[in-house]
Amino acid sequence: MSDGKVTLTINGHDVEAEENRLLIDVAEELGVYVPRFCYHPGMKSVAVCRMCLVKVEGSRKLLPACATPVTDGMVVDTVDEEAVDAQEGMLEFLLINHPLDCPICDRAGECPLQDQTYKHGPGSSRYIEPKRTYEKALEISDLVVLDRERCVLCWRCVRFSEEIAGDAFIQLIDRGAGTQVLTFKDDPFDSYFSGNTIQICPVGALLSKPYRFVSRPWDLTSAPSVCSYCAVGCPLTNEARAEKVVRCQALPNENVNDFWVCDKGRFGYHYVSSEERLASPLVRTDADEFEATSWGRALDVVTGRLRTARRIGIIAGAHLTTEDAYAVSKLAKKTLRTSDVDSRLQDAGAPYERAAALSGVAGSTATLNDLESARTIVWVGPDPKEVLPVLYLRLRKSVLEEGAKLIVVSPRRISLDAIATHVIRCDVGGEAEAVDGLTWGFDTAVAGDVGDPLVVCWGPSSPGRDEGPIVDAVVALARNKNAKLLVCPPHAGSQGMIDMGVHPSLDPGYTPSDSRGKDTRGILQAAAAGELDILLLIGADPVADFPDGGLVARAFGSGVFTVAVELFPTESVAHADVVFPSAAYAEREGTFTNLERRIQKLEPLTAPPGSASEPWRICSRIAHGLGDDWGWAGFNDVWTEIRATVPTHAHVDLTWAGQESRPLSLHYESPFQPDPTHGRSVSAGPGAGYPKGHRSGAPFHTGQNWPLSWELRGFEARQRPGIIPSRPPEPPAGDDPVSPAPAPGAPAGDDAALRLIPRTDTPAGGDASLRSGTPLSSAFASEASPSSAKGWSRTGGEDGDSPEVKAGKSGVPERSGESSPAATWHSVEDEFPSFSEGRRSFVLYTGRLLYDEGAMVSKTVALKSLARRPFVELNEEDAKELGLSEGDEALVGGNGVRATLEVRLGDIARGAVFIPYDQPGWRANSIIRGVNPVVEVRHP
Amino acid sequence: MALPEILNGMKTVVKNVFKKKDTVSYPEVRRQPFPRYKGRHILDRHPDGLEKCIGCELCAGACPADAIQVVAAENTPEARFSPGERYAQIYQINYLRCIFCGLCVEACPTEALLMTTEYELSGSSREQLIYTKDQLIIDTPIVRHWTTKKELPPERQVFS
Repeated sequence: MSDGKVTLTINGHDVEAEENRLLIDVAEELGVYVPRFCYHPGMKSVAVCRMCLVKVEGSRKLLPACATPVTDGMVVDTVDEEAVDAQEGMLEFLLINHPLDCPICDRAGECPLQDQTYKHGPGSSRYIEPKRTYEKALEISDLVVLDRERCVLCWRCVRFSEEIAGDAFIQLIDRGAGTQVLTFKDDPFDSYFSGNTIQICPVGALLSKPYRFVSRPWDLTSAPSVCSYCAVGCPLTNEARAEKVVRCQALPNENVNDFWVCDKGRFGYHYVSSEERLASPLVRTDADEFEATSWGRALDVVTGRLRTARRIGIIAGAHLTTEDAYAVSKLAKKTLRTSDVDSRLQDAGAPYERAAALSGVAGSTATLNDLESARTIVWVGPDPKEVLPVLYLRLRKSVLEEGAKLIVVSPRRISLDAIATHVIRCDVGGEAEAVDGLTWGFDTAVAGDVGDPLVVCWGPSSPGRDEGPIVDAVVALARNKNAKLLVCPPHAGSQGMIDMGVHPSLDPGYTPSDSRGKDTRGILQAAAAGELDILLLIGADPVADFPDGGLVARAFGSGVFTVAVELFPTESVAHADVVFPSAAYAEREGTFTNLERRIQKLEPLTAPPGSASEPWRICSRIAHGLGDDWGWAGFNDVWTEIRATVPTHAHVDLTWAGQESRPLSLHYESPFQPDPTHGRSVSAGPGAGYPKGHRSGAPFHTGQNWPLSWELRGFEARQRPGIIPSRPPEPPAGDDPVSPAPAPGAPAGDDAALRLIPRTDTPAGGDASLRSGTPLSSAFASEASPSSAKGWSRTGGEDGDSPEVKAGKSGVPERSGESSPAATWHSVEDEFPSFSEGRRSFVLYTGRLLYDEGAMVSKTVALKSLARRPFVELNEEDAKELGLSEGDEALVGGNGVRATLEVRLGDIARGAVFIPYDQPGWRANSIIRGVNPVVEVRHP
Repeated sequence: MALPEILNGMKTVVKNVFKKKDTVSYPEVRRQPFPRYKGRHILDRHPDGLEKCIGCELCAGACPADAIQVVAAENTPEARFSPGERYAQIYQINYLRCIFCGLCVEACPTEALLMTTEYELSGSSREQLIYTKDQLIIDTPIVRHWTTKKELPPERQVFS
């Protein structure tokens, strides 16, 4: 057919389908279920299980539906006697060696083999000989248990690990009846994506260790949600037994995660039901202890302080939802009339707002789907496998499946190097120069591969580093090549925070604030200098996350009155005066905005501990206590207001984001129920005749007493797509083609590193030129006025000290001085010794690993043991100069702090060291001081 | 006028006064139920002492009254409760909910869960009627609240 469509007949129904689609998919959308084990919509077909054999007219043999593309005029019969006979025979064959130990198998109740045997299998087996046996329950990794007896050799796990994850750690070995699935000898199955093999295993051969014997599927209630860790925002189902989340599984969304989720997202749910969760408000007593108290009293204490306070700093964490972000923004900018509010902690100072120079959006203009249609992808940023794992899968798919060319700019070898067309190994901070090289085509070999469509990806890579020149270069590249930009902030709530104006210079909807407030560093510096009356930490843990441990210690050491809203008694909470308990992601309705600005909805499943509450509710109650009644009773009220006040989000309809799926009028056919109309067995209606235990395209309801279906199918990946809000109504108008920012001459000079001056006050180099020269501020002049008319921007300037505040401070109990850094502070000269005595200064390039000591992941039992010990990665030449080799211990120092770390040799730019940011035992932020940190490494 | 009816009624009374009594003076005298009477459950053991229950939760799944709670755990070489990998860490039957239908016994794949003819289930609090694994396992004797002086066989024909 001319339009790429073909017409075929399946079980007597005429269907029109696109050419080259697989018969099994087309049949499924018609509502004809063909049994299968090896076929998975997210992977290539191999047709090894022979379960989906169907009769096709004109073909002498039965054809596997999962490997047969539809052709015009095809006449297919899936319930033909011959096909049914083959299916029954195949199932009997598969069950020959299956141990049928369903009563002790975790998969029982949601097992494709079980359900399809009931539906399509023979009633009994003729096989009476002894079955093949293997050792049961091999623990092939800390997360996955393998039972080889149950395996039906469908290759799904092997294909996943090779095709999708790229970590070939599991394989089918031996031949014939002795074929078994096994990991390589002495090589554990340590993939960041190993959990997916559990979910796609059609039997109980691969099982989750944390979920082992914990529950039966019929005991679970479930709710769709979104992963609370990184900014990719993979949709998940949370599944709870007896009010405790016991399992998370990937929900498919073809726009975001396809069918996959990383192990951190899949197994990182334990923190929700951790015993350590805060359950009631705490107030610091005169005896310097926390006392559980009522919400009323705690709110009174906070609002009493806020009434008199003049200098308020608010730091919000990046794991909060979009509504929380709006509430924090409103509390700061409207109720408290301060712009000293920021959400960037680990990525402190990352200038997301400069992305707005490109398109008016302080964030991505590209979607993840754009990666797949891109001809070239430029990656400038951290290792996505460690920080944004599912984005790594999407990038990998784009490169290997769709043929996009990948150019990686990184000072250190990252996971993407293995699939990249070009790797530009630059100095730390030299990314800007390298990107400029691409913009202007200096390096012809690389620049020749910069094609169109181009997607430029940037994420803040090394905490504590000035990313300004890099962003300028990236934006210039995107502008010059008319490319789309994918901004990759680190955490689940990062982009929502920027969208909602939790930013010192942006109001909700990316409108520039009238007055520029202090960023995180500025707020902490003000606190350290005693120039802050009250510090609000809303889901923020600066002690762990902010890349300047000394500054944080001084900030808290100053005795600033601190209010914390948190899940856990973190180290920052230990410094607080009032603590409010917060509800976790599985306990609340909400939305996360992911790195492509897609809004996806969380549904509550369990109840929060004690009286813990959503941060937006806490903000609203604080505002109410200050006499500003926002009138919010529920989640929908917040969104009504967001729609009314944030222009970009005016059309976000959450009934659609949280949609229960479009009703699918599928009717499933089965050979067992007679149907008078077709003269053969057909049953109609959604779910009717579908294998038992399958939700069969039915709406996915919150609290539905059945978890996710065992089989994620193609159409399900389109059920909860989420919404990407519009861009600001008017794009940056009238800007002449702005030349890219001048090549940053000395972007990361050592003297810049030493300054302890807020970047906001002294923009350096290219920073200043962009801020004044590009239309960032001018372009939104028209935008800014309606926003300020709503009273969002502060009108008065911030006043100086007020004596009554000082008086109020005297009542604050003194903290124990254990965290005082004064004793360990060295002079700057001491930090930078000469190249002698086997010690040298290195530029610090840090970054998070997937399993680290974050507040949530460290409370997750299953993942805690996976976190690696801290190490220092050196260039081989540098190590040789220092007399260090792999596995040695090196003394690393900076900011007056010393630590002994294991040496690893890696492909990293000379003169730089990589130290993971937050591993158990030692936090790298303790040696960071100021912007662009430098550390000293020597032989111990 | 009503006299014939009254006499007719009294005839039935007088006739029954001289019949043998069908009631027994429970709890001193107790009639045993029929052997297939469905009463209180027990959890059986294998001859080697291991529990037959493997914690599969099929009884709980089959229970129409949602009276059974099972939480499974993994056997270890140090602490082995049942053959195989899985055993019931928590096993509870709530006799306030149980309707004695016996579907749980039918569902049990290892014939671990059985029903006795014991019907004397009472307690002074709701908690007492939630029987735990310790009470249900076969080696725990069934304790009665009263001693019975005489047990009558179930098949005793009263009407002779």
